[in-house]
Amino acid sequence: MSNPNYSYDVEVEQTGVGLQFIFVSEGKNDIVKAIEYSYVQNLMDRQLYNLGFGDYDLETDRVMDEPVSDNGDHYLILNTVLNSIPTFFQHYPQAIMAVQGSDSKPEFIVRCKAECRRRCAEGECKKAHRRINIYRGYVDANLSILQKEYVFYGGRNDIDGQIVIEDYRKGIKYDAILVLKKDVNL
Amino acid sequence: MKSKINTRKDQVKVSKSGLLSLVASKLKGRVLFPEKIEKMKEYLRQAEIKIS
Repeated sequence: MSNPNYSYDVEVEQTGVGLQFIFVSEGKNDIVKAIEYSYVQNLMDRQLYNLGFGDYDLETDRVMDEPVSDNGDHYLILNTVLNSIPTFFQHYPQAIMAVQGSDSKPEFIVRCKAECRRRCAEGECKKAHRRINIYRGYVDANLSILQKEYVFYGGRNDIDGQIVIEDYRKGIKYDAILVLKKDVNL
Repeated sequence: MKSKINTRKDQVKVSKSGLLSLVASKLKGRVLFPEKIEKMKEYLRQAEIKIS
């Protein structure tokens, strides 16, 4: 999906719930990163997998999806995540892949409000939604090229608070992105 | 020139490929983001699909 030469080496493993990728971010520190495509449920007769991404701590043996490691290699990490998507579709060509940001959760915003120094307005959090915005920014910037191979849908809150999944349009602040390989219509 | 020898017994040096294999073996069979699966289920449960 992105430049395959600008990417970390990954260890790929098929698991009981889907597909797992492990790689080492080699920035200021060496940080083990994990990508997991996990089966969620069927949607429109297709299997939907969630893209999860986080840091693995060898000492605590835990994977955390919220830390911002700021390791100085975020483009390389983003490329590595994006490059895992074609591999996912090689394994699951009929599937739908969905992604949401871990910093879009209401709990994140509540916690951030309690700890953050920034003075965000009521009901706002400048640190929220950064992760999904990175994916959204990439899709927006490359949509015409990506649409040759993939179909995109966006999930957003309607004005009445209803979540709507619709055909992806540039510039909309989606809080979820759904992707499937072309020639597979819902 | 002085060389520094690490004598700590709780630290070992492993290659990147060795580290990846080690982590992959530790994570084998585990669901890494169970909360995200539940969150996506909840999201889809509430979603209305309006696609062409």
